[in-house]
Amino acid sequence: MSSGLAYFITLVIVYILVVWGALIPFRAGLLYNGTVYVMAIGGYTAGFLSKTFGLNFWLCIIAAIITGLIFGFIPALGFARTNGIVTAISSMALIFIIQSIIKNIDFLGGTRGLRGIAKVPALPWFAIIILIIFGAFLYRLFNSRIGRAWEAIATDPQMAQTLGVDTRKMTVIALTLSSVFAAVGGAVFAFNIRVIYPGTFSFTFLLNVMTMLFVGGRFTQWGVIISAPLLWSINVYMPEAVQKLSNYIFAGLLIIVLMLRPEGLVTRKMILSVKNFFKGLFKKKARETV
Amino acid sequence: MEQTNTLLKIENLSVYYGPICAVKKIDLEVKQGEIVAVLGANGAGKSTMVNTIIGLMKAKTGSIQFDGKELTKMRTDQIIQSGISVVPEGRGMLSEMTVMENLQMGVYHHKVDFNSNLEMIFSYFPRLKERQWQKAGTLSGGEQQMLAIGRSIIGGPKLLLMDELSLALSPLYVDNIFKTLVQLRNEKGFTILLAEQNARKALQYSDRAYVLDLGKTVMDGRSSELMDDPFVQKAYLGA
Amino acid sequence: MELFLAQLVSGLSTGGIYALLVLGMNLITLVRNVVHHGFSHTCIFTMAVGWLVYNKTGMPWLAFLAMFAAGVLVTVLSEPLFRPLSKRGADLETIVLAMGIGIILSELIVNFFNSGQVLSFNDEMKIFTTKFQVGAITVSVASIVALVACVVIAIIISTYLFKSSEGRAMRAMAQNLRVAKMLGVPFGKTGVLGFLIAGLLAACIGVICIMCLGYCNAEMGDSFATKAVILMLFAGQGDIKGGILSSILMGVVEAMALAYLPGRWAEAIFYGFMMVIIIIKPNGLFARKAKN
Repeated sequence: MSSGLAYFITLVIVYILVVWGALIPFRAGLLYNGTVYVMAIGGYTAGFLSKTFGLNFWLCIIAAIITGLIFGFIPALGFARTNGIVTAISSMALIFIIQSIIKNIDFLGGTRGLRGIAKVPALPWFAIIILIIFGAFLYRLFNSRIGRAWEAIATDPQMAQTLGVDTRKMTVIALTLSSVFAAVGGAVFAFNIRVIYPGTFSFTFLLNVMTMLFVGGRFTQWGVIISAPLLWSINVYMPEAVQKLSNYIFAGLLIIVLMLRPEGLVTRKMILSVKNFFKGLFKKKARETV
Repeated sequence: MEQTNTLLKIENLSVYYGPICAVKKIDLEVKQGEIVAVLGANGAGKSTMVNTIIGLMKAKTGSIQFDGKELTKMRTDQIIQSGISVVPEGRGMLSEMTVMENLQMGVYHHKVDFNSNLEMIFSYFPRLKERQWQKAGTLSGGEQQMLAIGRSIIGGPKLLLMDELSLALSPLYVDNIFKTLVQLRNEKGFTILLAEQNARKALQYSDRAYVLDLGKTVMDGRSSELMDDPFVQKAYLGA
Repeated sequence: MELFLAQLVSGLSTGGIYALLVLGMNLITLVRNVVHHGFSHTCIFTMAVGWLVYNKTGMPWLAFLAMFAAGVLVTVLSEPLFRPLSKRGADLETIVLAMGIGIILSELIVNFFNSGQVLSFNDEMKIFTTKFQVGAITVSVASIVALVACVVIAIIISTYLFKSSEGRAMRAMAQNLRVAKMLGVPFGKTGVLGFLIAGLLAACIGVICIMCLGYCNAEMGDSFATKAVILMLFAGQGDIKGGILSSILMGVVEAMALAYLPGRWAEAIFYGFMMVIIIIKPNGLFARKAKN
């Protein structure tokens, strides 16, 4: 695998993980912009441990999961009380807070950035393993009791409450799990890029995440697997002139999709029909063998 | 009254919520100076009809002629401008605004003399004058209904649509409000279309009535005759 | 004491700018129930347009005219983007949409104006450059003029919203869109009007920022936007008077924090404090009861 391709694959997987992180709260009817904030925390945790203590990749990932849990849980307690718009906006402020905190912490490198993160040769393969594990976990999660409770909250919070769903608890769970995904994404990102700055985890990053989420489709976990490589290849494989315009393209696509195709590229209907198609195949085969 | 011209004429109107038919081929006519009631239980299509007349919902087939204009092709604000006022279901208060501001919203489209009309409203509803600087949300239910009526007549409309006027009001208040409506019609010549669940009161105070059931007109005629009709008595008056 | 007074004056004028930003966003909230995160970017964009026109022509009045044109154009053209979402009642999506607009404007500033460098304005654009001495402190005329201008503009717009029939219609739309429609308020026209006034306001903010700050860059859009959006929620969405009050308060608090707190932490403390308040009072500091 060429180094360019390895970098591309790993980065796309990072995006998929973070977009999944943003998708979980959306399942519960929340727009949570804190994913980029937790990503910064996960990235800096992994980077710092790898650089200072020389911990190996998997230990760093586990550490990122733990910090992600903690730093996702704390704001989640607050956001359990607020409504959709307030959550969306004030979680945006988290990005500013974490940027300005990291800038002021000297052992994290401040504005000069954190350098010297260990090189992991098998990073893309590790990333793929992580993607599969987390993807399977997410699939189980969405089809579990918690997943159904989230969907009930997204449809109608008051009705969900009357059905006995503890909306606050479910919000906390959603935001915390979302943070775990984002933190792991951030850790892999740190190993991939190997120099991280506070400014890396910025609004532009958030825009990329949101574009992939909305263009891919925010009702299924599969949309982003298509949209992330597609969109990011604009930044890598397109001619220079187009690459320069990538932020316009992202924002423009986001606006167009929001206006014209609210469900995104991959809709729930599509997933259902694919499932039915496969079910049909298996049934036919079963009949043939009989 | 029979000789005066038709103000509102609905022909063959059908309205759908997605695949569900809420109003099926309704014909209805309101003449100048009449009080016409549209009766029916919950879900009979009364509110849908009102919303379609003012353009909040789109008709699938049929036509609505008002004062020589075809309403089905017009936007809500144009329809209101052409001289129709609504008392919305649930009174539709702008509760964070004062009583005065609510009344001022009533003349948003109409170039009328606000102050003299205000005097007229206050003479019919003196309670509103006492409370004119209060927020509309702090009024009692009856006062809110007065305000809703006041707000709808202050612009001097040609036709008044009243959706569930008697809802959540005490019986005494209902009588009062209907008496005021009749008085308004007699003194100011307003034309009124009532959509009502309270069939007894509506028949008592209206000239003619239509009975809707599941989106279809099942009966129509003079209110006094409908009052004596055995079917109406059984189904709607509980006699 | 001198430091305190000097910070008070500068805090009041920044507070005034915040107040106008929040006012503009509140206008848009009233007519379309949209939290327009990109409004602050629009203000910075008008400044950039002003800078460009001045540098090309050297005529300040033409630059100011261009700023107003740009402000109105950008906001009014963004209205059709919000309309379908607003009709669908998709509040969360509108936030994302507004972010997208903000990013596009920022990118435009970075790419087409001074190749991403800070845009500093000439004295001729700043208009008021004199400073005078009061006791031991220096006060610039610009910040006083800015403060007065903010107060005047805020009064004009509040009067418009509370006394004119179009203003009433806008507030009616915010309270109950359905009833407003039934009273004949045109959804499209009044909305565009609200965006238009917000656009004029954006240009005014641009002019005031030129006077007070004398420079602008693309990053200012993001930081202004976040502050203004948070301030708006802090006061309660759509609360005109509360928004103005809390903005001015915040301007002063921020100036004091810059002077008396360890400088590097001021921003984190500022945002953290606001977030805690918003989480404790989700309906706004001045809200009496929850919106139905």
